[in-house]
Amino acid sequence: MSVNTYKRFRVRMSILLIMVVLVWLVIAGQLFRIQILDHYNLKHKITQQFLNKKPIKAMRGNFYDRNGRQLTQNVMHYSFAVNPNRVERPRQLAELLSKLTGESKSHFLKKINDKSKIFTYLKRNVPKQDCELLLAFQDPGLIKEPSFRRYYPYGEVAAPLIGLVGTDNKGVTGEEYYLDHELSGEDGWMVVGADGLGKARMRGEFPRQAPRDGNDVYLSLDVEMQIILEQELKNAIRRHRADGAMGILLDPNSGEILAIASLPSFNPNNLDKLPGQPLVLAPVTSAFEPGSTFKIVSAIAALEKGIVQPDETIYCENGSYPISSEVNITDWKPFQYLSFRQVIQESSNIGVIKVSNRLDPIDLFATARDFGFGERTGVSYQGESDGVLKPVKDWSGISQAEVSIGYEISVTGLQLALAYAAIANGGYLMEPVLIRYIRDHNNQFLDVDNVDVVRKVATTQAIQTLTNMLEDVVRQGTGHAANIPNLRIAGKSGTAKKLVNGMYVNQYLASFVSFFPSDNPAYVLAVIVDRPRQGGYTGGQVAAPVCHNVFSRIYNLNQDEIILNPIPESPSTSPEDHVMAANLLSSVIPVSKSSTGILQMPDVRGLSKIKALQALSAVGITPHWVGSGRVVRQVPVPGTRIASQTNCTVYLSE
Amino acid sequence: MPNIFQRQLKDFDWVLFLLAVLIASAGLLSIYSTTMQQEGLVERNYFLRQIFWFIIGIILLFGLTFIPKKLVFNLAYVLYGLGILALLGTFLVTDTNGTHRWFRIGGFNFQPSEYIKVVLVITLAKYFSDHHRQIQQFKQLIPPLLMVLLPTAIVILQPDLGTALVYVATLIPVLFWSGIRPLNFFLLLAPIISMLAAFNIFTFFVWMAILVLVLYIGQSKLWFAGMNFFLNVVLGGLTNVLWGMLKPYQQQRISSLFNLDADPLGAGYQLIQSMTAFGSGGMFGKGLGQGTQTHLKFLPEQHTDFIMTVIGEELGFVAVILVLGLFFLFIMRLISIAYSARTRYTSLILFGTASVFLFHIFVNLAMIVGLMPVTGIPLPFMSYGGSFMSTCFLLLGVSQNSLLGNRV
Repeated sequence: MSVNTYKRFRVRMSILLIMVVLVWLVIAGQLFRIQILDHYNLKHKITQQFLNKKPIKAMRGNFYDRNGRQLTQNVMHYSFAVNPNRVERPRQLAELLSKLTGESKSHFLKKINDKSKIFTYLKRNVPKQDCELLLAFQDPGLIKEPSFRRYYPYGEVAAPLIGLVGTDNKGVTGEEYYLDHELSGEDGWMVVGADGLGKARMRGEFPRQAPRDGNDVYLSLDVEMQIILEQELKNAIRRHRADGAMGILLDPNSGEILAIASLPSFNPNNLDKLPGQPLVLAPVTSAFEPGSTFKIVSAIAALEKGIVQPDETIYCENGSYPISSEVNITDWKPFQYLSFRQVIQESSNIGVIKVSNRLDPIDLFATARDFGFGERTGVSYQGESDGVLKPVKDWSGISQAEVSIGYEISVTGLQLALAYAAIANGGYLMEPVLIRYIRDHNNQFLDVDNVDVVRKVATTQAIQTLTNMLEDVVRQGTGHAANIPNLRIAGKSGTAKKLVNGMYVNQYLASFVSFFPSDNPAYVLAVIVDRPRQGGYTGGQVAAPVCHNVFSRIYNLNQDEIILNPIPESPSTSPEDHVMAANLLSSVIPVSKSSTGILQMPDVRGLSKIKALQALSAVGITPHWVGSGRVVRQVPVPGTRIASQTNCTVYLSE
Repeated sequence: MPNIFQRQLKDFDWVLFLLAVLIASAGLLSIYSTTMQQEGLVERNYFLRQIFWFIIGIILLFGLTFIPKKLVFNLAYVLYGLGILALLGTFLVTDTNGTHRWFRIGGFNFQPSEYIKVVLVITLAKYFSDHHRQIQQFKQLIPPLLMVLLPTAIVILQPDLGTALVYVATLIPVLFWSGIRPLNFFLLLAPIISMLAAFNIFTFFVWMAILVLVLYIGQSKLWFAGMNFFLNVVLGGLTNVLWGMLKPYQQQRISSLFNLDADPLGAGYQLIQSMTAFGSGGMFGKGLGQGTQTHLKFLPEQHTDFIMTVIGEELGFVAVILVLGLFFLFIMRLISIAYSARTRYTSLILFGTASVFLFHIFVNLAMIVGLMPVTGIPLPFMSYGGSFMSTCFLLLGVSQNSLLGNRV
């Protein structure tokens, strides 16, 4: 063999050398690209990945009644997840989970041993009391995420008022929604150095911001009176097989709402069984034709203008009085001659119309407007109705007659109660107060609703005269069922025919509005029962007894003779209660899928498409996608209240 | 005796040795950095263990250097047989991942497939130096082909796809260097290209056209050309079948190359983390021990296949290029000695060694800079691991051994 055996391979050698040099050039080139050209981008990325800002959840504020009874609670829940690559004792973990949930061990073992993942949820939203064994279990792969869920210790009581929160713990209805900005507080954050295995590294000092807990809300409500009112309304619904009922109990001197009920209610702790109808507070949000309870407006207008004397005799046409060629007004029973006092006492439509026809229509309208009808009271609740009070120029020939007996207008229960409060307190229309004050996390009380007079609506003399008449209504008139011996109660009944599809039908709204004690009124109570079917249908038969029962129970309350067992679901914080609460709450998750259709558009901006899809499908939305990449815009905007079938378009970055 | 040692040391290539030690030192430095904050026992301390393997490697290197060259040459096929037996023996043991790659001997993991790399270099060198005169005939290429395919098939079953690729990749340059006809070389490579081309029907037809053209120009016999063509078509058709046989994670590794962010926590994860490590290092790095990718374990097993990312992140682009330069010099040194070697055996040993190293270096670096799928090929002299470290020094030892008498 010659020394130059391979020298003849010069060509092959050259090919090889070129290939080797190429290999180095390609690698060095790629390194140059990522290390020098992309340096900034990748450096930024590494900072983000290393310094992970984690939120510290703020505690949502709670509701309290005027006596400091807690109406909402935040119950601690835990979600359990696992990093399969770090688990040391998978069998014991699976066993504990199996005990907790009743699901099979192998179900969990499969998840725990799926090493292709670094994060898998095992069980979400377990109340703290149920999972103490798991909480005590120490394993580097087990991840415990605490969260708070809302619990309403009084259940149905005042549920339409207080409202609900959604899965994200944001208010969706009621005061939970209206006051969400006060209640939700501000989440804090902590910067944690997290390593590639998802384990937080606490080494070193990282900045953190403590959360600001939400503010507590003190309502004007008295939960005992609320319970009394709801119980009596429920009894009335049952007794008269009515569709529903509402009631408002006010302090006429301050305008504070002591109880406000809207039945049927719902159990906010069991959202699986929410009723199909909107979960609103009917006394605020729905308007109806009041009928005879509105006659106080005509009476005040007439007395103020001096066009009628209380004892003036009025011929009541023997119960039949045509006001136009088509419309014939009747009384519930034929009357001939009644004094004006008796007209109110017996609630004669014909008598009231004949008196109010003497009025300038403008005066009737102005009095109604002064009493607050036709405009919002400004109560702190989302979705208040204005009611309808047509301006005089839109009145027809019979409008004045109709309005004077409470038709052709519509009012809310709250407006009606406030109008009676103005009679009760000597002529002052009050602003309603629902929130007495708000207390922030530093125990600073912030005044919210001050007691405010809107206007003086009538002279003391006219008020006094009318009050006497209304006392007669209860003592010997249509409101006799509200009478309580030895107590002075003033009130007025109303029995309005319901307008169904533009026709008055034989369905009634039975109402009774009253105040007591009428010599120094402390309470105004408006009761409206929707469509009573048996045991009478008039306000005097159906609604007045409710007033009687409520007043007598409240009266006894004031005498320190507690006659009710006020708290159906104990608000105490014993573990058993939490367990019960938690059991109820474990069904909370599907809130967004409930039949209520009241949801909030989640914020998916900045999320990847898959994460956004998860978030949206959790509330039952199938979005329409535009583009690819990350979400940059969404329609509707986050926080919008939506129905589950809402069309949603999500715009992605590319 | 002193005379023998003197003679041996005269032929010892100190440049190669020095380059290897420098590269190994860079590796030790990186491992030191990754494990600097590691608490715990000595046997869990990668740095101390790697130092141990480094010393073992040096001993193996010098041990091999001073064995008579003839002995290695004559025992080549015996070594091959032992290697295959050891490889088959792994199937008696099943490790925690359900694979058969390891023996445990005296507390250390022993990986026969690593030593096969050395054995193959020796065996191929012996075969081609023994048969260099008949090498122009195609049928003479069948024994070395089988010699490589047998261990390849075994490690695929282990399963260890990366190592299988190393074996095949060793054969190709050695064939090239053995002096076979370019046409035969082309025809041997053709099946591999056919299988790759078959991923796309268009490239496959273009490739088939080239194959037919080459067969025509090479004036092959009709039956030979026809058989060749048929074989390539069948192999191309097999590609889809074989792709289906790949484990999902292997498929994902290949596809994740094309879309890194598609599954950032899955197959693309390591690549993203690796590139992030390099990118965040910039020109001069963050300083030794300061790499967050390294110390916060974003890159799993960084001390093995991803060892270069430590240098990239902590010492920067300049240091990486320096290490790349060391590797380049090392390979060039091997090739240039091979080019000027006096015997076929020496040249082929050196060339085989260069092939194994080159393949490792290229595949490893291409992988960590995101140019190739994650295959689990370590970086010579740098990656953590006893079997691999000693394999590298054994290869270097075999090369030094083959240089005995080269300069006389």
